[in-house]
Amino acid sequence: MSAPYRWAIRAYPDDFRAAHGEELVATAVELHPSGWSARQAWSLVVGGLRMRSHRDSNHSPSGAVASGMRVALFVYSILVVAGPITSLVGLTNHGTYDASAPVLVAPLIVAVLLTMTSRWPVAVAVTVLAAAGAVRTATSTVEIVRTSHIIAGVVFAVLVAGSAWWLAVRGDGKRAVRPTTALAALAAGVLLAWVLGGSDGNVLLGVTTLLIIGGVILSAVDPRVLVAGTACWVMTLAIVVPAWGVVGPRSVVTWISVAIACALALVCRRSVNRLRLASI
Amino acid sequence: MHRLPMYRRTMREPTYYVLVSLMAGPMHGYGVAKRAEELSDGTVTLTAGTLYGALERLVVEGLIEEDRSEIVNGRPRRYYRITEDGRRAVSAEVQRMQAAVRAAVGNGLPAGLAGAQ
Repeated sequence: MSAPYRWAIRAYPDDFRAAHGEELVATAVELHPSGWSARQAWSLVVGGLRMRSHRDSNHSPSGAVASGMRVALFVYSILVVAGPITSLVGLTNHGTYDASAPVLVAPLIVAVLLTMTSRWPVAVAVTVLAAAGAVRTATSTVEIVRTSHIIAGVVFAVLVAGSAWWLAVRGDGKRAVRPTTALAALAAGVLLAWVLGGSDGNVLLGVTTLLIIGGVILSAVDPRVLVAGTACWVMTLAIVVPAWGVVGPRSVVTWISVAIACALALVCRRSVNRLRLASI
Repeated sequence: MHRLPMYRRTMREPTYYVLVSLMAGPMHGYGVAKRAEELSDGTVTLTAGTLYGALERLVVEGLIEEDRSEIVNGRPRRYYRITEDGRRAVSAEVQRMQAAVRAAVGNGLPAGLAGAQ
């Protein structure tokens, strides 16, 4: 009878589950003694996700934004590495990729460090500057031969692993993402890149679709996820649109999209301050 | 932005009934859920996820604290008790609701209806 509840409490953070897991299951059983209840099980899943969200945001509005940024940067790391990996292991045969991507990773790490210390306005500025730099670099995309392709791939892997490490650390210094979860996300990204043919544009489209679907579901769990999701979207827009040259670097559309991203960041900051952080 | 203490903000109904339930004395999670349901005439039915989310947050905010743990019929039970801050939070919420009733009565709601169960 308690098996579904034991599965559902996996949504809670490890430490809380270790301290309260048995008690949670016992209470769910007592509240519905005539057999397991889908409502109780669902409440445990939602409660667990909500607790993770609250802890990750350190119970503060700026923390929610920083949390969203970390998610965005994590997704970006996966986007950066997924396409080249599919090429390296021979799943796709594009032979070339944007050599400007490693240039973006260094400011990315700086931005992550800044968001982790809640200096998010500076982090946004760094990110936008990095994106602007990428627009310039993207105008001189280099075609890489096979040997240097592998070397660049290793550099990619080291840089992304480093940034993923920082991304996985929460604002309070604890781990937000398990290494296995990060690897699973990367594997999913590679799989997606393979299915979609390794084209950066297609991968971006696929990940964006998944983000929107996931965001809608999670927003139903916790309103703050909506704010974090908006921050995530803003960061993704600010970084990815110019970096991949989805629209031309000299196009007005590029700069309009960056301007929209900045405006959304400001709106997000205002709305997050109005959030009422009630207990339940 | 500085966050207001819990008792300075509007309290949600489940939070209110969790705190009021604990005013009678230390209680475990299941006891709190059943007591809240009784006190609210069945309008507040807490699920395990909602209940423990509330208890965790209230502990963090210092409105309740853990009292003791024990094993009953092989099931772990953790008891919680309300703190002085928790009592002040309930008191502030009651005053807020009384002011809301007075405002309604002052604007034409019959006083008898305001006191009706």
